[in-house]
Amino acid sequence: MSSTDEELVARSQGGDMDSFNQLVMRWERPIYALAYRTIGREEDARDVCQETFLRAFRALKGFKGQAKFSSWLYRIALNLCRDWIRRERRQPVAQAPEGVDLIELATESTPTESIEDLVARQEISQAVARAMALLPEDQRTAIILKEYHGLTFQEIADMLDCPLSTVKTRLYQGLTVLRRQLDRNAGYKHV
Amino acid sequence: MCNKDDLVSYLYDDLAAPARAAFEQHLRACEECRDELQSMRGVRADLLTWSPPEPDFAFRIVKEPLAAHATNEPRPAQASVLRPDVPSWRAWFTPAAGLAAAAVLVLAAAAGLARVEVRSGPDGWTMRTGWPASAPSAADAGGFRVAGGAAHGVDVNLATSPDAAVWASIERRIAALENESRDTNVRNVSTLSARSSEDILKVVRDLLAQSETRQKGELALRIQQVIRDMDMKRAADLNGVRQGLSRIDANVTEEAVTHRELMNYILTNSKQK
Repeated sequence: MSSTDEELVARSQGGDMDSFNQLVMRWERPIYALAYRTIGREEDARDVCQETFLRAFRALKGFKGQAKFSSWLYRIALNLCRDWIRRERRQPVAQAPEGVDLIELATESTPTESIEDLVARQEISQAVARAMALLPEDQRTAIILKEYHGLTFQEIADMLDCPLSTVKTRLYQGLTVLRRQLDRNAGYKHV
Repeated sequence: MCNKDDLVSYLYDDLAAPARAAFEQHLRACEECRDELQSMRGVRADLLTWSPPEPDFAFRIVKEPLAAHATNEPRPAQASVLRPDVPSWRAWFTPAAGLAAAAVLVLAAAAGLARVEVRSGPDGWTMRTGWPASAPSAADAGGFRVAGGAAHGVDVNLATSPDAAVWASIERRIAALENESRDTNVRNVSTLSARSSEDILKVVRDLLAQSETRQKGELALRIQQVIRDMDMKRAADLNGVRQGLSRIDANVTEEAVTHRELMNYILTNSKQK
């Protein structure tokens, strides 16, 4: 039976590197996904992910468990993403995959999905990435945390240091802008 | 005025039962909220199509060596990232591996060029170098034989020398030594022959060493050139593949748009009918 985050954190605080690396293995993909969707660059997202775990390790003694370990990691990652955006002084990049790799796409398909559907899905994915890159940072972050990481409104509010109603407003505004952006995209068909 | 917070909470199924029932009642009466809800559900479905590329990090956090924090000042925990080796041909082709491969190639090339041949015979073990095709035999080509002793002998074919002038001077020197030896007694001849043999062997060794150094340099240059050529070819191939994929992408997109327009046209017409 695998250990909980809390158990692994406690052991890591006692100096057990293996426990900390188990936490890394458990959370590296979500943290990378968060960074990628926030800043839009694969290479930089990997760097942010690594830096998140390094910072977490260095600050582990100070982690008292007030929040969930994952929320704490998300907060570190988001701060690093913000630093990246400010340092680069630009909007996140809508980094669409280079070309459409039909072979790769085909391996992702479900048995009932035709190649036309696959291509359409890829188009939508690229349109979403472009539309997300245009959103203001706070709305984009709220949508990412809610849609892709399944955090509760309260968790997002705590992480972003804002009232609950602000989170909902950001989500509402963000989804509205996304709808408009996606509708503008010619040749695009909704799922 | 509709409550957008409730709309968002309902969208994410985050309303308590009484509030949910109340909002559903509102929805039945409010077309705008119904449309908005429908539209946002569509956006949420679209959002699910966007996934990040598969990462290849698999890094691990490792503690830094103790020497790194030898001071008495309190410090946060020191750590660094450990990246695994990337299993690609580039990672395999490390400088050490490259040098080892180059060394093997140099030895093989040197052996090939020098045509080293070791064999045993009635005179004991004999090592012979040179190309018999271009120089029929050591004796016919005016070569010479240096006997290192009863059990060992070394044949050096001068016809394949990289520097004929040097070899010629050696030959002249040998001839001079032979002439000189005729004027001395047998014991002196023997001593002189042994000494001259050592000198010649030394010169031969030096020449071989120089030749080997030159070949090493040339081989290193050739290897670099091959690597450069491979890189350029690879980059060109990748570029070609990318362009091809882009063309496929453009064609497929264009086709999809045309199909979609056609479907819309058919649907519109059928509705009108």
